[in-house]
Amino acid sequence: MSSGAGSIAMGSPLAAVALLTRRELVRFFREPSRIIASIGTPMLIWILLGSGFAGSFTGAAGDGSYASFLLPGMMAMTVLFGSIFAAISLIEDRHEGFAQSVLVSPAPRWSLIGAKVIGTSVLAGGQAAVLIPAVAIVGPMPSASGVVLALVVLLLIGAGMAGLGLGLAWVVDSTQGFHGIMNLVLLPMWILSGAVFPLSGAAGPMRIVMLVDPLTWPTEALRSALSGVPAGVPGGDAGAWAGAVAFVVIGVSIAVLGMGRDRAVA
Amino acid sequence: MPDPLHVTAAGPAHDRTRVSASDAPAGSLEPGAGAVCIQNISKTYRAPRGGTPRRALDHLSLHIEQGTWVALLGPNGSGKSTLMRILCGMLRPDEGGVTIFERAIIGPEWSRRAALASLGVVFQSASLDPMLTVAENLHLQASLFGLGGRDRGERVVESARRLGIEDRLADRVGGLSGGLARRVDLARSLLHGPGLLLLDEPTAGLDHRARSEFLQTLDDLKRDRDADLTIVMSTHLMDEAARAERVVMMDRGRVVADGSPVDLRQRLGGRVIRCQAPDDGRTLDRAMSILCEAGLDPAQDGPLRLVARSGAEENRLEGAMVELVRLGATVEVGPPTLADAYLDATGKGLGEEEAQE
Repeated sequence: MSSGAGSIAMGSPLAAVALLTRRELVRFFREPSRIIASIGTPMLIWILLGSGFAGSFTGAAGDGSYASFLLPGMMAMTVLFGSIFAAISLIEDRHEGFAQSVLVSPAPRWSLIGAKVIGTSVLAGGQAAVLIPAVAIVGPMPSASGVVLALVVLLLIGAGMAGLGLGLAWVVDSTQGFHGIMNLVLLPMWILSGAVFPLSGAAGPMRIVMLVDPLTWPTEALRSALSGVPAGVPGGDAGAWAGAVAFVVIGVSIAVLGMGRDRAVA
Repeated sequence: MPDPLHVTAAGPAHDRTRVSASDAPAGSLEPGAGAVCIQNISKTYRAPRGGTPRRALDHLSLHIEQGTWVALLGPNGSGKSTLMRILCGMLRPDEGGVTIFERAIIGPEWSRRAALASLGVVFQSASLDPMLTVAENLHLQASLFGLGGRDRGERVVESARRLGIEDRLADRVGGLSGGLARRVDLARSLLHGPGLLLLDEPTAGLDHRARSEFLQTLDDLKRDRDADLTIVMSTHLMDEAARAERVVMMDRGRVVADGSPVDLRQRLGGRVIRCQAPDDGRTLDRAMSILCEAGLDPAQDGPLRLVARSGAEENRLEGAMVELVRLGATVEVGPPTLADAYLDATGKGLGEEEAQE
């Protein structure tokens, strides 16, 4: 029965990614608090900020209301929270030993990262998509193609954010340490992405910083898809979409680099 | 509602990538290699700022034949866990090579994956997802090893039955006791029928009863299941090492003694005197000088310990024993143990746990 001699079987890499992705989904649906927190918090912040700053931002946020301007940013925040949960779950996997069982199987090491990125992208993108109907409450209903494009860009933001979070999680030993990085890197990245104040109104140096922020580009692509207004980044919608794809490439590259730097697999 | 991890197979058997020894480049094979062939490996851990680098393995070589049960015995810091991590491909040595069934675990990706496919690994803590059920964990692990469809289901049931956990398949792992979780972990590692089972201090954290049950399971496994199964288990406990067919004693990253438990004891020859002096330096010094005056050379690491190798030494010892008892020391005379063999090889003990032998 043992496979010590002769031929041995190894699962296909894609099957491993599929099974590990399914695990991510199963774990998510077994944690109701995670679902409530991921959708409820951005929704609450959107209602509070959208109504509280409605008068202050009139005009600065384009033709629509501040609430309609803020909504894509809140969707990006939902995805951000999802990616943070994914990163924390990776740290837990390493502590609880599950990651070890994958690393000592013939499944390729990137399958764990691949599953986390795909699982997070689907879950976080799906949670953010729950907010799409709210667009019609505060502004004109987006077109069908706009909704489809919004779903695609949400998946891209999910993949990029997940990659970024996972890359950081590989080199951090504790969830406490990751919370510090989250506050230092991820939240400022979200704030500077044009999620809460418009790129068009930013002063010179701030505008440069916002354009350097890789999350700005997919957030602009999302806003454009939902509102029909061209993206405010250089290159317009095409530039925003190219930036969204680049964001995924950057995020996943950081995740792979982080895995390579991990002492457990050095 | 069907469980999502149960209803989806990893893919039919024909989807699996099959690799055999004949697929390997000829140059990477080691003719005549056994289950494990470790050649001159060293590993040094870089120190944090200002610290001294720590050499965990020092030009260690070892050859393990297929079908043997080998215990790597040594105290914490002797290099056991580093060696185990290298054996399962999680750590790269600074130099040297390791082959598992003639496939290099440190090498090209195809070779590493082929070597891993023949491995089952149990770590110091269970490598399971606590949020999934026992069955889901086993199915997931089986899928990572390319098992799919009916074959996977049968393996899961058979493995669970063998380890006595078939009635816990629907339970979440997070709710299991430590002993049960270890058995699930063992079932996980055996699902794909590995030729080599690596156990890295598998009873760490278990209570006495759970530890005994786990070790009994290993005994049964080796006796009943598969004579070709090779087991490599790291431990610092004498009673665990004594169950193996071969004990490799390690100290400071090197092999200091190697043989069957019986051989290692017999190499010491006669009787061993263990002397526990009252816990104050003065009495201990006096006990040492009594033995030295008698022309004996005791080793000291915790209790004083002395191996009497000849009749003449035993006679001298008997004289010294009277004085030692008068001093208030507890003196035991008995056949050598593996702890004595380790002490003889290294000049130091394994720690207080060795008394469990």
